[in-house]
Amino acid sequence: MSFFQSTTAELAPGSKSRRRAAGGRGTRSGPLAVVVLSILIAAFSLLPLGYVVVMTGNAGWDTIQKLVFRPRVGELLFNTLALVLITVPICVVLGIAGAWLVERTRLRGNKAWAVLLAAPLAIPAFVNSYAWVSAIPSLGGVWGGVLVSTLSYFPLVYIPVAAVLSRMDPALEQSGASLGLGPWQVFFRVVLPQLRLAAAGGALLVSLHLLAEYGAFAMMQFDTFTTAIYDQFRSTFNGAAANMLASVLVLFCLLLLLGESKTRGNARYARLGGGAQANPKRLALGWYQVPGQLFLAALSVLALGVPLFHVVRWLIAGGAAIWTGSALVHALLQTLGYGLAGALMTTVLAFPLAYLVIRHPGPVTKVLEGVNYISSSMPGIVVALALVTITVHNVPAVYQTAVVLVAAYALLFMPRALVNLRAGLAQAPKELDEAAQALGKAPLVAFVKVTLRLSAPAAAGGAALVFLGIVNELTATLLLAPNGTTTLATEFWAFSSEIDYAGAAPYALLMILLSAPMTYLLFAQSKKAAGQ
Amino acid sequence: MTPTIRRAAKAPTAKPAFIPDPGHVTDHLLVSGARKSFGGTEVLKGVDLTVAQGRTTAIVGASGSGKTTLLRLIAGFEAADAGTISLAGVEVAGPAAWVPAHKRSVGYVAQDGALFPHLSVGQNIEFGLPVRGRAAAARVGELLEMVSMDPSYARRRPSQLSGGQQQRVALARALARRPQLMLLDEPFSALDAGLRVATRRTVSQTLSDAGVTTILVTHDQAEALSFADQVAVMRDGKLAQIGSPFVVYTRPSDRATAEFLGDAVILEAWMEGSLALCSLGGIPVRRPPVQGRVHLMLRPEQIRITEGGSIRGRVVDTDYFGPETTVRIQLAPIAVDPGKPVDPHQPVGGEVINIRHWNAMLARPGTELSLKVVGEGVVFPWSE
Amino acid sequence: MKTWFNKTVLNRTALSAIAGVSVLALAACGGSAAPAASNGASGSATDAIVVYNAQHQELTQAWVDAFTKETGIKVTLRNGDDSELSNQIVQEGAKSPADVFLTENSPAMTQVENAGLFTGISAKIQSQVPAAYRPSTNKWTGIAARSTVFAYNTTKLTQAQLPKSIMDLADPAWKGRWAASPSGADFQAIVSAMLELKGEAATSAWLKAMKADAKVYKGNSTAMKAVNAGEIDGAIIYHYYWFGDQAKTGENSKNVALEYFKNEDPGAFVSVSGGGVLASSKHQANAEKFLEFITGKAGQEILQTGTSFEYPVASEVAANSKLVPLKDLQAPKVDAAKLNSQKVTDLMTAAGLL
Repeated sequence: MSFFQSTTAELAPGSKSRRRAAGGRGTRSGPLAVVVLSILIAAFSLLPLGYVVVMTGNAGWDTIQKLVFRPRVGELLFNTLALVLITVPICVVLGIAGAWLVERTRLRGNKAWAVLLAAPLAIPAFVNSYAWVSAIPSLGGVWGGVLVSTLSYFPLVYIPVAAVLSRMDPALEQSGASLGLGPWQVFFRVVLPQLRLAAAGGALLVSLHLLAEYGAFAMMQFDTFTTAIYDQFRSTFNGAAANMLASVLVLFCLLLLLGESKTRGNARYARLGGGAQANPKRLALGWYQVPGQLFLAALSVLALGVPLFHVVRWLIAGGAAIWTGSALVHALLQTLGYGLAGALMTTVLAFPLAYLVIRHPGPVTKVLEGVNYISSSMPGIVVALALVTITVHNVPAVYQTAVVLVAAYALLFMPRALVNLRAGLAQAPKELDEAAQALGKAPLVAFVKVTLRLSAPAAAGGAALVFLGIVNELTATLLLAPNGTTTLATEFWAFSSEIDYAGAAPYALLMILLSAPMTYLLFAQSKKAAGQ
Repeated sequence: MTPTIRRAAKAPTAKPAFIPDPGHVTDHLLVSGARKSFGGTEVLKGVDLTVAQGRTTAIVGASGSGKTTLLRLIAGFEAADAGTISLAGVEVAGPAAWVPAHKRSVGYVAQDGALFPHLSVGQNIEFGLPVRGRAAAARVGELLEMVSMDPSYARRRPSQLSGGQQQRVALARALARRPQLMLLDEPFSALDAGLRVATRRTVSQTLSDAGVTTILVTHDQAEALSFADQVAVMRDGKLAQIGSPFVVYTRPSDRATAEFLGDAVILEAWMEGSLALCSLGGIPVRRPPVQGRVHLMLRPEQIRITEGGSIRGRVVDTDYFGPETTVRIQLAPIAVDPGKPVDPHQPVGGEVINIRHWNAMLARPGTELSLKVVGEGVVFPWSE
Repeated sequence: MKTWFNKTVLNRTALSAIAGVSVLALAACGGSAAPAASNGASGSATDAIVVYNAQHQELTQAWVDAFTKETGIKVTLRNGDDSELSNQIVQEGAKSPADVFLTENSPAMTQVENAGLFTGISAKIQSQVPAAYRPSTNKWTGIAARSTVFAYNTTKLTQAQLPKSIMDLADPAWKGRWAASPSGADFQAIVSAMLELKGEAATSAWLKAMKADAKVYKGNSTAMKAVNAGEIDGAIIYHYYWFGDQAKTGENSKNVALEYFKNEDPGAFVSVSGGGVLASSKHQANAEKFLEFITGKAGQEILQTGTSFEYPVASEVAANSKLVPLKDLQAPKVDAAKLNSQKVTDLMTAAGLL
């Protein structure tokens, strides 16, 4: 049944020399080749973590002491912690409030609001920061960081929470009401607990983005571990101090993962039955309609209006001079090229693991999945630092080639492909493969005609999200891009760090235009994926 | 049932993987000594099964008994750890042989039909056909009619069909390649009661018309008994009994099989010669395995409420089901013949039994009834 | 407690294992991973050269465009910062894809020179560049120069209130009133001059005071913009940021004036931008041509007439007439070869600025 195994023993029937199709028989641990491939990919995805561990180990205690236990690290720790601790709760509150208004109340125009609240994801955080710094030049510090990152990342909570709310069984709320709870009590005691998983997942995503973000904070002179690592990189390439900061940052990420998995416990989203979906009863807002509309309008103006306004303002201020055709086209084509290659490679690499997770769940698969979960939380700067050092010293053949950059993209965005592929493969149960085999199709043919075909839409969805990530990726691209390569993000960054905001505007516009359809896709998908 | 054998003659058929040698083939499918473990748990513990050409066998057992695993071994989705499987006289799995699923000429219908959701009904049926175009379209219409569906359904999507229709399409799809053997894995279990009976009848009729050797796996004993020529009872990785539906129902080989295949009244009894003495009196037993203390098994329908019967019982309570009522009856202890010496192991009787009766009014709690037993009982050796 | 495992053994085995896996994984999917992006990249069969460029992208691009127009030789740029690229070249060693290295400041050049990675400069370059603007080793050459300035907000400070020396900024009176961009190589070059002129103790103390008193920006442009906006009274930057902005819209410098410390103060430091040809270059001739072009009349005139506002240093080309002439700056005499970038980074890291 394995599609990677060639079907051996195709000799004449009855012949004594026929051999067993060793390994081609069904096994619980999954086809050997897929397992081996998945282990290789998982090992590869552990590169950044391994690099940090080895570098920290090699640095020796004295260096660690000197470079980690110093006031600067304390400052960064304070900044980073403050950023996470302030931004994440605000994002959670905004995300849940927005989702509840849109999904559970009779809000006027809630279909449009539903999309508008997800739309800020189409604006890269560093473009948002650029707009806000244009609006308020003195913006900076923790509060500047909190403002811009909240406006950029609250949709990461909003989208999953809205998806769960829209699918939540209204019978639960009705039971709550029948047990004598008022509407607010129903919200806090029945609805909110069910949103816990979605909100915690969103909060984790927000936290990881906060830890990894470089451009948005560098633009407003706010230092976090990631900006400090980049500063060190600019001064020393890959010096010990950069590595030490990276190891502290990685520790941070691991603690976050641990925290999230503790909140989650063993709980999973309740699996929704196939029955017709009941339409939840929506709460009449009455006079609250006005503040509700005002709240969402304000949020949208801040998160969408400000960045769009300033991009357009700089476009107008720059006039025709900023449309430097060849450079713009060059960056656009390279962005598209890398986006497509990265999306393809990431999807291909994610496939074996997704396949194992769905078709052969077991202890090995669980470990592999966990590995992917950990390695994907590594910030771009750490991934890039690891790959640049490893390739320059150990794999000169690929050093400064497109391969390394694409590999970095695969490391960074694997979960996007994985999550979608898993959902897609779940739509293609192995019974269908077997049915095709029983209808005379060889395992490989059956796999291609059934499993691959059925998971293709989900794979394409995942690839689109990887593409979105690559278009807006800055740090890894800055460090790893081959000589002469520019992307929209790096060119935007080159212009805006020279405070040529007008020159940067066309690149900002192109990034937003490329991201918008992918963001819509993400939004649409989340509605379908809820409950899986 | 006389199977009409319509073998490859008309439309071009799938490439036959094996040319059966009709000269010596009597048993179409032969499984011997099949064993299979998953992760240290032995699921099949040595299974032997033969199925004759054109006949229908039901493998019935509780969930986890290994029946689906056996079916998957036969289909070629899994390989046995030991034992051999031969199909039409050719070994397809064994120490020296392995033929993959797609070369076994086996049709397979899964529990939920496993229709390809991205293909129309017609495309699903065509999937395994080696021909395309007009010939295929004609064959699709023919197959849909064979499963009592209008050919116009070919254009529909699987999601537009009811569960019963999906199962019939799955059958048509599996029949398209004219398989030598049809495997049905709980194909009716997902259907609701009314649809289940109708679909089962259509499928059964279609298969017997086509003369295809069939194996049905089910956990539903009524389905097994009504569908098959031969019933194989699977328990704990082994086949506990194989025989005709009548035989396995009326003469189960052990108590567990008896209870699995239908409601059973089990009484303590004392075997003397060919009579089992119990609370219902002396019941004739054919070929009793032992003498002395035994369990006696009767089917509830063998116990009738009559006027003037010799056995007395008092109604404890009843469960009303409309067309019939389950009546719980407290029996009197076994009458002891004062003239005979009493064996200390002899049972005392006086059990409470469940029987069925059409008249609910007759059986008010506390009512004294007289009973009689028709037919023979089956006894099993005593066990605590 | 010393290192908790054997350094060298682990280093080699662990990294090789990691690398091995990565190669396998990359090889498994290598074919698909070469998008249209690698055109003109390193190692091509053409005679195109790769320039590791830490100079302002705009300036180098102007040089490259003129050079390619004249010679037909294509140039690929890898942009970065002085120390980033110098460290990168040192780590790449003989395998470096770079043919030419251009910096904004000399310490990075010195680092690469000390690693023995430069081939010498040609006689033609030596004839074009005065000895004052190239090291005595002639392993690299100056290509441009820039002066340290104190850019201040004219509404907040009067001439009389200005610091007399860069060292004065360590005075608590300046707490919260001045700014710089310590993560950039420009500022680090100024500190390296201070280190050379005033010694480690004084520099270290000054940096500690800076950590406590100064506001930190990323990039000189941003620092000047903040001065202009009145967020801060003044900032240590290089002169040309002001001139560049004045030549454009003046939007970020209209409230800003420049103070030259002069008087051979460390704050009057004139930093020499360098260029050199890598010994590992496989296109030595073309690389040399490029450097000759930059230091030649045409190249230096781009500094005179363009929007970079850096000082020309070669081929007797005069500076842009808007600039204070180089000889009037009273810059301290600093031997470029002695500027120590590693020490500066360490001191700044210790001070908590990095």
